[in-house]
Amino acid sequence: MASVKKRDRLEVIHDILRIISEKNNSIKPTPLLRYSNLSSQRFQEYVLELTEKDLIREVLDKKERKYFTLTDKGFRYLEKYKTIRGFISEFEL
Amino acid sequence: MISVPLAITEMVYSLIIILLCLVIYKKTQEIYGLTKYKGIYYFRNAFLFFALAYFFRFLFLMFRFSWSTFDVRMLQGFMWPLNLVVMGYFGTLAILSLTLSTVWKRLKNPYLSAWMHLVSLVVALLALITLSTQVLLFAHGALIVVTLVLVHRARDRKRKFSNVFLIYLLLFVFWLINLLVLSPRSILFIETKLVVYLLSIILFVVVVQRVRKWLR
Repeated sequence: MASVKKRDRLEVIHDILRIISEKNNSIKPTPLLRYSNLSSQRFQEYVLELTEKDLIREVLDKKERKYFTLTDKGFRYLEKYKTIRGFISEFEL
Repeated sequence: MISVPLAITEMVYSLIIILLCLVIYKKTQEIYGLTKYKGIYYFRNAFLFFALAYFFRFLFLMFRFSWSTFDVRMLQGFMWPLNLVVMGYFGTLAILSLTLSTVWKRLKNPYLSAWMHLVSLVVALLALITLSTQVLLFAHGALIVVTLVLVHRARDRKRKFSNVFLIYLLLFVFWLINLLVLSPRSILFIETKLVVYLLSIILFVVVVQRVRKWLR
């Protein structure tokens, strides 16, 4: 059986942002939780962290349903992810 | 006693090193803002602290130059110890920050930054009590040996020695040589100093180039 490498924090954040981006920058919490492959508690922690860091924001539609969208900073994170990874690897940070 | 050409050399050298350190700090600003990644935090702070340490080292030399040339005795009582202490503090922070940037994941201690400042304060206090560049040199030398042993033990077995490790080691060694130059009984000739300064600049340029490779 192939071993599954545990994702680090940067990778989990990247995955969450990528999922939102791939869903036309609008996704409800439940599918995002499912696709992100996290426990409910960890998911809440990440959502709180990403909101505080202004990488994602919560929006409500006309029927008061909650959606997540990326902020400009969130798109920038996705854009820069490979660079960030490369930099961290270059200096063994 | 420092001659005018040597003072100009020191100024140009210090300015180049400070500028290179600030380039590294500035270049890493965006990726740190996006990620708040601790490794990047320690890495960029190390170069900010190096910039400050080299700045106060330069001031230290310039005050010595002022006394010997203009006999400004009133500065001796205040500015000289102040520069030594501040240089000791930022130099220690730079050494510890650069070390932590590579091992922070393995040291599961939430108070790493607090410890870093505490150790730096102790070293600065030691410099204040003794008012000796040699004591500071020995303190930083001992600190570097201890941190390198810790890094060696904390790192992955496969990656015990790498280019980055070598660069960091050289940054520390050149910092120690820079402190050695401050000693009143410095044994370094002017030619040796120039070679050391040139190599030191090349080392910082190598780091800047590696940073620029990813963060243009």
